[in-house]
Amino acid sequence: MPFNSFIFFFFLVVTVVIYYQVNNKFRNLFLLIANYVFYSYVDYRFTLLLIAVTSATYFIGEAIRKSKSVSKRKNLLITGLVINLLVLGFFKYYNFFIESVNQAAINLSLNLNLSTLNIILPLGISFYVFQTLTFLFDIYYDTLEEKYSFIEYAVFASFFPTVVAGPIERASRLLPQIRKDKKFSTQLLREGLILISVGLVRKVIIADSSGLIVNHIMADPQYFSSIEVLVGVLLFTVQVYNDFAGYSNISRGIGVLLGFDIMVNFRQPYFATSVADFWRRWHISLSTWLRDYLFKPLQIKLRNLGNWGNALAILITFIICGIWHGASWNFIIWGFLHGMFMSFAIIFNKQKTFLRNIIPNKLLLNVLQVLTTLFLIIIANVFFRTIDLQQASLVFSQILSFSDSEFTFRFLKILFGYTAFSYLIDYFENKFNSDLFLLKIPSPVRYGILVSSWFIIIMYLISSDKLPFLYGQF
Amino acid sequence: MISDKLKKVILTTLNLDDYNITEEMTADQVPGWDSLSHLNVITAVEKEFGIRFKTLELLKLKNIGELQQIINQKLGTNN
Repeated sequence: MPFNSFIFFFFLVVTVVIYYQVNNKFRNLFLLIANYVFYSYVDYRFTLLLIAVTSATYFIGEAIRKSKSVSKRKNLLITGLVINLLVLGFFKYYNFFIESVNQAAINLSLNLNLSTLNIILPLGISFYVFQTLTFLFDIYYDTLEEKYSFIEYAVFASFFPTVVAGPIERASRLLPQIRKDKKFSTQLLREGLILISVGLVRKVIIADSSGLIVNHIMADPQYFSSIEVLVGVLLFTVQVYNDFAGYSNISRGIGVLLGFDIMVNFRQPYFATSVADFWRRWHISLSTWLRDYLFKPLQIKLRNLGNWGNALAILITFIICGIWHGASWNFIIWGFLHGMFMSFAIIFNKQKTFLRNIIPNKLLLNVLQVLTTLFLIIIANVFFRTIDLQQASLVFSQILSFSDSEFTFRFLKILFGYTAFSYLIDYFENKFNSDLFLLKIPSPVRYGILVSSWFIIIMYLISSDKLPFLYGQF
Repeated sequence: MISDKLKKVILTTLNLDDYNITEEMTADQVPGWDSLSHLNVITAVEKEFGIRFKTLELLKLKNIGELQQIINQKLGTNN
């Protein structure tokens, strides 16, 4: 049930109304049923898998909590990790693995021809597997000390605002909120609706409008001029941000309507002054997950290597980050590039200080840092957007062919418009240090913006040009 | 209480002239102490105090006070 559909709005209104009518004691049971109804909308079999995976994780988590033995706790954690990652690996990576083995065999003049399976990727599996794993980690690291019932835990594992595409919540953050009594207030309603509206504006007005052009260009880059393909790549950078940040805004808004504080997933990432800074602002729920549960243990294990250990830990973490996004070499290269950019920055740290000394003007230095960071992100994005390495190289060679066409100016105008709109929202979020910035402006202006936004949103929902959320496919 | 020795190691590693470091403070509240420089702080502490942390001890750390406690424990058993 996509967030940008009428059926979802109907589901949301009915759920919120009943949710606050139900007694506090039964509210979580009702929320659990709502979660499963939402999740079963596409295919009920996915729900059975979700229940199986999350149940296994719950009982392993509880076994870790009860155990006093360090080695037993560790073995249980590893068992839980293996079960979850095997499920994720089978559904998401089995065919990619088989195809890669077949290709390698062909390269070695062998004919293996292993057959692939007809596997449908269960909705949100990468997100909910990572979310449920936090339950195991948080118990193992003693950050989740209180015991929670199976119902409370199952609500956490299938929480409909986050189950399909995050934010990947932590058990230690969400479970205490699930336990708390909830009370409806007009403030919650106002804040929730504003977050949902801003999210839909990002999705509808910026991401999908850009996305239609991006799809058009990327389908056949060979028919477009250099500037047009470049505009396609730049517009994708605008699209992917607004699509996912919009989704996260909507998710947070739904959370607020239900009395939850879901974590902020984006903080003006295109204002970042380095790639490491970018990852502190982009898909924060995933980057902090990777930092806490993968990078830190690796970094500690490799600490004898000094800065090289840091660089290696970053590289491994980001290759896995790439693989998490999807089963293709393009995502692996995308992750590898991000890892390399940051590893270089760690190893050449002294040169950074040198740069700071030769450019004494702080503003100029900042602008140069932001532009360099954007440039690196955009290069990596070519691999993120294209379907295979052949298409990626076609995009690069088309941009470098320096060809021109009569529509160049029109494409540049479109790019400028959407980029400016995206930066405008970021500017206000940054200025008020909140994604609820609309609450801080005079109410006549606020209502004017909201009414006109919803007019466009409703027109869009009626139209047939809706694009799926990009991160919904991961 | 955070010992002067620990405070000095942290400040020197992070190139800070002075900063009030308290027990309840978490690493990210200290300027420059991020996930990347964390490694430098930890290795500097190990070198300065002549101790070796276990991976799980470091991953469980909640604040600087807990880091001090582990150092004290290790020095206590070493002595």
